[in-house]
Amino acid sequence: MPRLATSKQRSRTGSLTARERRSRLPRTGYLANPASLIGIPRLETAHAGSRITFGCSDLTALAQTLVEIDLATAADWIEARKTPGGLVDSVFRLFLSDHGQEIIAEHFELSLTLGESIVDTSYSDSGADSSGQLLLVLNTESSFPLGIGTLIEELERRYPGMGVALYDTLRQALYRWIRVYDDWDARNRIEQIVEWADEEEHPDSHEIPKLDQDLPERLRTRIPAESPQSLDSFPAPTEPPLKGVVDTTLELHRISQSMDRPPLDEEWLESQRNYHSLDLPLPVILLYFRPGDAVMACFDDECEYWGQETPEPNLIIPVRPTEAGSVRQAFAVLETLMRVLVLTLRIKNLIEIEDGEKAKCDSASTSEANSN
Amino acid sequence: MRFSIDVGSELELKLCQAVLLYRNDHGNRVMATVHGVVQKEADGTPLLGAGQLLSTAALRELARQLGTSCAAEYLPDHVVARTPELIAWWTPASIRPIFFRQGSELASVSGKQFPNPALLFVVRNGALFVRALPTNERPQAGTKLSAAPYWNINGDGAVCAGTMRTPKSLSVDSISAWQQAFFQSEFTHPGGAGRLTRRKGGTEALWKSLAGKKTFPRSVLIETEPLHEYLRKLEAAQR
Repeated sequence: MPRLATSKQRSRTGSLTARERRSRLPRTGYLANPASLIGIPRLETAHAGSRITFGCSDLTALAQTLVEIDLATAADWIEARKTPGGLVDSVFRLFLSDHGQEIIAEHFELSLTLGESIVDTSYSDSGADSSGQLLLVLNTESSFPLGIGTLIEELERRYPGMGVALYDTLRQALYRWIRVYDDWDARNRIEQIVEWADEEEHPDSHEIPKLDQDLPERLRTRIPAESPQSLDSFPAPTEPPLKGVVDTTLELHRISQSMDRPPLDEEWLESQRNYHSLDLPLPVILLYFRPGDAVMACFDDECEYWGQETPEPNLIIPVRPTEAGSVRQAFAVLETLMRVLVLTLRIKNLIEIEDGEKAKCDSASTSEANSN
Repeated sequence: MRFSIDVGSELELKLCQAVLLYRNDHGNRVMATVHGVVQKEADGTPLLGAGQLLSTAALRELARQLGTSCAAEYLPDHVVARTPELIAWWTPASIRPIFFRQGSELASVSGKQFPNPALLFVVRNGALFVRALPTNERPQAGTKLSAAPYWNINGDGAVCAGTMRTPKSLSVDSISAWQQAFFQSEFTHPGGAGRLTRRKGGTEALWKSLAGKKTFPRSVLIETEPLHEYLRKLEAAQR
């Protein structure tokens, strides 16, 4: 009895037997080491957080290759907060900046995007799969106007055939890299307008730009089959602005031809065009003869319809991020493109100087004639 | 010239909690504690605060935050099943254009109107699966499905997406976009997973014969498994 009484007493004071304790606590309760609940495990600084890249291991591979080919350093990696996207972004920005981005941005509205598709991928799910290829795509939001009529006529006046040769050389050099809207586009547009007009009740109501009368004479009268004389076969002009334009155009031609556009799988490109219903690339440059001419009129007429479909990029540069050669090649292509654009701007400046000087001369001649 | 990167995405994540798992030497007893981050030292090293035994409620909250939940949404009649990772719906038999890749054996009939059987669509983890239905009505759990006799579809009904633009989300609202993605993409090649139709000459002969027709012949369908078994199989296969 006393033992029983003692036992009862203990239980009332809360000192339970082991058996009773187990039955009243959750299963995990008796496993818990109270020390672990208040202990403060020590972590490393790196555990504080992380920037995580989702969706594409290709970007990581590209960042690594950029370091391997010395386009980025360990310091850049730290500067980029150790994120592949940050590193790739800083390398491209520096490269573009070193190759005339500032001056190009003043005149062109170009955008260069590194992505996995030739169009905006916001709709499609890029997922986590790596395609092993990235694409640098060049698009434009407006066209840079380059008036060349006066220059062609001036060169033709001094050296017959040279104005047209310069025009052809310039056009071909640019067209290797970007879309140019020129008199050929205007002619096609006019054919289209005529066709539409013929289908309507009052065809005369259509105002059709008169291209031929706006072409420089030599262009208007040249025989289509005639093989053009190359620009470098003419004697170099001695007058500074003209000489500058010719030399720079020849330099532009040389740079443009120094590298091929990156080859693309035609079947893939065709499937992309069909799938995304791609329109022609928007022209980066409008090559006209004089303000308000037929080329400009056709351009204005046509550009109202641009934007209804997604345009094909002007340039697509495939990059295989794990291959140093492919990454180097992509930068080389980019460099060529930048040089082409910078030289185009230089040509525009020289043309403006030449036009300015010609205007001064014309004005002086007129004054002289008037005084006589 | 503006430069941008359109590849994947980046997130900055900061440590907010830690789960510590404890196990005895025999591996038959396990305990989990969850710790908050209470302070950081000058060098940024995080410190974990006192732990609490991990409760079912905390686990549920963690699972929710990790994206395994789905928002409450109204389920229209054509939705057959819904979990956080999967959505299944059916469409009645229809006549609609189907596109085949240029240069393929079916290029000559590409873009024509074709009768389609009633179909069951399932999206699971971003992948689309399609089965044909034996009758033009909402399938029941035990309804026997059939192989969908289309190109670009494997034996288990998985659609080879190719260049198909698929929606990112998995919600009732995305159903029409998934269907659109399926029907408006070009079918490029046979699935290469055995027979998908009883029609002599396979899917090529089938679609050639169906161009411009009004009714899909159910007799050409090959029966597979009941609906409930198919859904279970898809869930298990990708878990």
